[in-house]
Parts: sequence; C-alpha cells; structure tokens
Amino acid sequence: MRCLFVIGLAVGLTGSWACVASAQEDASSILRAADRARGNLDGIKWKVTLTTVDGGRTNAMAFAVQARGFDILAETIAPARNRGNRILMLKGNMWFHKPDLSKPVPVSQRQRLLGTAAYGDIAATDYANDYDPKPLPDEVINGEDCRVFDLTARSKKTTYDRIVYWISKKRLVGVRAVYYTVSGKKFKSAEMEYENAARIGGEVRPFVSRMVIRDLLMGTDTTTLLFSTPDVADVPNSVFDLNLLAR
Amino acid sequence: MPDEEGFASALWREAVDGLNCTARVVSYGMLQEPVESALNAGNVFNLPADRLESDVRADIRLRLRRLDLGVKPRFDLKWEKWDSGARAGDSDFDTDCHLYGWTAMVRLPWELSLACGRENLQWGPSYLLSPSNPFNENNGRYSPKFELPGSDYARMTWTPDSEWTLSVIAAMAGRQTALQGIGADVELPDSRRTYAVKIDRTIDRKFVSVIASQGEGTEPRLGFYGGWNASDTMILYVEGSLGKDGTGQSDAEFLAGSTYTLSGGGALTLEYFCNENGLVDGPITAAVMPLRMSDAREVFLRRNYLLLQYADPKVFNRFEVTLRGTAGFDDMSVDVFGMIQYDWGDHAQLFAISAVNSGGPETEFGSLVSYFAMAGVQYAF
Repeated sequence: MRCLFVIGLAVGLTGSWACVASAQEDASSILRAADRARGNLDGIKWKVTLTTVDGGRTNAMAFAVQARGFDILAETIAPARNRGNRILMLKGNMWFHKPDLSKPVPVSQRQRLLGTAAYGDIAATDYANDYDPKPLPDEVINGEDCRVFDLTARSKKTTYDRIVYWISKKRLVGVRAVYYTVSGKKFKSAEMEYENAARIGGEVRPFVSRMVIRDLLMGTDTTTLLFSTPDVADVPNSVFDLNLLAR
Repeated sequence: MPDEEGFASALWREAVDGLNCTARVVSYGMLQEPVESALNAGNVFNLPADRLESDVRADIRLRLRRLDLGVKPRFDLKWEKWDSGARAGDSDFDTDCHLYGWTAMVRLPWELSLACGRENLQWGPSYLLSPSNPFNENNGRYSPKFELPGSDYARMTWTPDSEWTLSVIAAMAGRQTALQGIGADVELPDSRRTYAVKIDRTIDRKFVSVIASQGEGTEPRLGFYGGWNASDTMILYVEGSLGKDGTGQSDAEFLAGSTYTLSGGGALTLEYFCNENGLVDGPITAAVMPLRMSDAREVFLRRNYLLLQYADPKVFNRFEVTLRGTAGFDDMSVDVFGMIQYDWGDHAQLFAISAVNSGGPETEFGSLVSYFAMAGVQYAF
C-alpha cells in the first residue's frame, strides 16, 4: 500500500513538473514568437520616427536603424540639429556619439531617448530569455483574444524589472505592455501595432509598425514610435565596430 | 550597351542614396581672463581676452558598396583681442579654410577593412581624459564646441564577429596638452609616427580593450580600458596605461570611474585619476621643464584628480545641461565647468558655456585662465 502511495506520488509529482515545464516552454515559445515581430532578426534596416506630446508641446525625432539580433546602430536623421547623433547597442553595452563629442560615451539603457521612450524601446526585445513568465488570465484587447504574462526580470541587467505583457493568441505578437518600477508602481504603458511585414527565410512575418508609450506616473507624456517597412539585409560586423562610431 | 547603361544608372542611384551631407555653422563670443603666473608670466602664451568666431563645418560622406569616403572641410572667421602680455591692445582678424579631416575606407572580404585619413582618433569610456590613448589623451573636455586637431593615420581592421575587433594603426601622434582650446599660442615639438595594435572584446554588458603602442624614439606603452554595465543604471569602468617616460622612469596612469543614470534621465559620473609621475607638490612650473623633455603626452601634470559630473541631455525635452567639477588634490585647485544648450526649432541650438578655475597662480588649474565664458548659436542645415 505504501509502495503504491509512493509510486502514485512520484507519478503525480512528475506529471505536475511536466505540466509546469510544458507551460513554461509554451510561454517561452509564445514570447519568442512575439520577440521576432519586434526586431529579433539576422539583419534588418528600417527608419523609426518618434513623436512626443508633453503638456501640449510636440517634439519629433527620426532615426535610421540597422540591427542584427539585439545589436543596433541608430543614427539620427531628423531634426537637422541632431543629425549625425548615433547610438550603438552592442551585446547590452550602449554608446552615444554626436558631432560635439570627441569620442563616444557609454550610456545606460535607462537613458531617455525622447519623452517616455528609452533607448531600449527601439532595440529588439528578448523577453523570452530575459524574463520569467507567469501566466495570468486571458483578456481581450481591442477585440483580440490575448494571452497575458507577468514577466519578472531574471537579472538586474534588463531595462525593466517587471512587465505585464498581452500577446495576441491568433497573431502571436505583443499588443500591449505595462511596465513597473522596482517598487511595483506602474510607470508607463505601451500599445503596439503590426502593419508591417518582413519576409524572412521565405516566410512573411508581421513586424511592428507603431508603438504608443504613455507615462502613467505624470499622465501628460505620450510618445509615438512609427517603424517603417523593414529592409531585410545583411548587416556587416563593421557596422557595430565602436571604433567607427565617431566617423 | 544597354547593360552598361543599366549598370551605370543603378550605380548612380546607389551613390545618390549613399551620399550624406551635413553642414553646421557654429558662431560664438568668448571672453576669458588670463592669469599672471609663473607659468604664464606676462601672458607668454598670448591667451586672448576676447574672441568672436564663426565656423562653417561641413561633413560629406559617400557610402558606395564596399567604399566609404568622407571629407570634413572647415571655414573659420575669427577675431581676437589681447589685454595683456606682448600683444596687449592688439586685435587680429583671421580667416582660415582647411580640411579638418578626411577618410577613405574600403571593406575587403573576410571582414577586413583598410582605412586612411585624418581623424581625431579617440576611444575609451572616461570623461576626464583618455590615458589609454597613445595618440591623444586630451578628449576635449574643456569645451565641446572646439574641435581637437586630427592625426593623419592608416588603419587595418579585422572584425571576425561582433565580439572581437583587431586594429593595427599607424598615426602621427600630435602633442596635445591642456593648452588646446583656450587659444594658447604655444609651440609644441613636432608630431611623431606612432604604431598601435588594439584588440577590442565586447561580451554581455562588458567591454575590454588592450592597446600596445610605440612611438618613434619613445618607449613602448601598454594601454587598456574596460567597463561593466552592472545594471541598467550603473556603469563601472577603468582606463589606463603603463610604460616609461623619456627619462626611463616608470610612467603609469590609472583612472577608475562610474556613471549612474537617475530615473529622470540625468547621469552622475565620478572619476578618480592617478598620474604616477605627476608633480605632488611645489609650483606647477616645476613640471613644465620635465614635460618639455619628455614625450609631452601629459594632459594633467600633477598626480591625483577627481571628477564629478552631472549631465542631463533632455531637460524638458529642450535643454541639455552639464555641470562638472574637477579637483586636483595635490595643489587643491579646482576647475568648475557648466554648459547649457537649448534646442531652438529644428535647426538651431543656443549654448552657453563657462568655466571657473581656482587655486591660485601656482596651481595647475589656476595658472592659465581664471575663468572663461562663451555663448553662441549652432545652426544645422
């Protein structure tokens, strides 16, 4: 009897572990699919336009971005006064250069880009590897059934400590995100649209076209990122050479 | 023939797409007060008291397939006036047209590239200076609106992947000192050819570089820098070099620093720099003669320095603010620097920069100018 009990317990525990592992794998694969729609590609070039409305005043910037994996080189192309400014993100290290500087300077990912957008917001996401997902009850966002995950950062190196992320069940793209501070306070939210498409390996995938970020603390800032149709192209190693950033 | 025309037409379109031109006009007025000191007795460096300057700075770049070409012509109008020294009462108006820099780079197979040109070869994470740089330790911290002179160079680079870069560089190392940027009329020894091999490694949130170099007629030096993104808000870094000076004495330099980014976007930076054979006590003039005998690499002449800086590039999405204090602990002199820049429309930026140096005429920071202030406008086309 005792033997049957132990066997039953072992089977039950194994089954539970398998279910948890399967759920985690399911969550990871969903996050990975969503990451692919936000820039996790072998080589891509596109333009990103940021517009921020702060207390009724509008500011705008445009960038030419080259990306490979999670490495990016973003060069400011508008407004004219900022043309030539560059941001290089390489293996989680960020460097900034502008014509007034004699050399690039290291900056942290928290550094603001414009309005409520951080430099990490124009980079590719790697939520599948950087965060532990905890499934939350499904919700409907803008008429779309979504899986919802509470993402907790696996290390202190990520841009955000905690994110609640809504992923469309049908399209497997992230449609909404709410970002939290270390103290657990909501401080900004983002909504994403995927009108662009990129042909990768013969397969056409949806790609992010618009992201609207709202400041939830002050409630006055809204930043809109518009992503152009991506140009899938090889990006050579020299693009990410820090020695060439100041040229 | 039609194929040739098609090829020429496609090449022309690529060239047009790959051509990038920017032009800026930087106009400012500057005033400064030269100090009567043992180092600058009778304003021997002919530091001007007033300056009005307008610079046209164009950057033209063409990227065409494996070719990357760039030129940076400059046209300057400058008026200066002297209140002290041999040129007291003089004023001078000057125009200058020159090529500030140029680059020709070709990307070869196997991730190799060859480049030559004239460029201000700079690297490293530090704000105070770049002690790992055998070509130019002065990183222009004195005023961001002044362009540091470039060096003629040739470089071969191999980037087998995004983690590693190997560079072999031959350049004419200029004799850059802290006198650059304040209009000092100083004769420095001729530049010398310097060779360097630089290895860069970038991994997850860390970077490290090692630079082995030797200039003609000088001892070899080993430079290094490294950094670690300890979190999304904190960067820790070190930079330095080891070698011997012109007299055979050990000449090591070491800098340690950190930058913390606040939630509002401003960043606090703290750096400590130690110059092994810097002057610990005595008047600053005691460092000048050995300096002239050595390879004149030194940007700072004493031993121990501390930098504290606050920089915010986006105050109300319109202003850029930098406040910086540099203290020389050996003679207790201090250099306080402030800059504010305002974005005016899509093309213009208004700026005001000021620095105050204290400590007295025998000290490093107090021996040349007691203060300088400049204000101007930068317009980008």
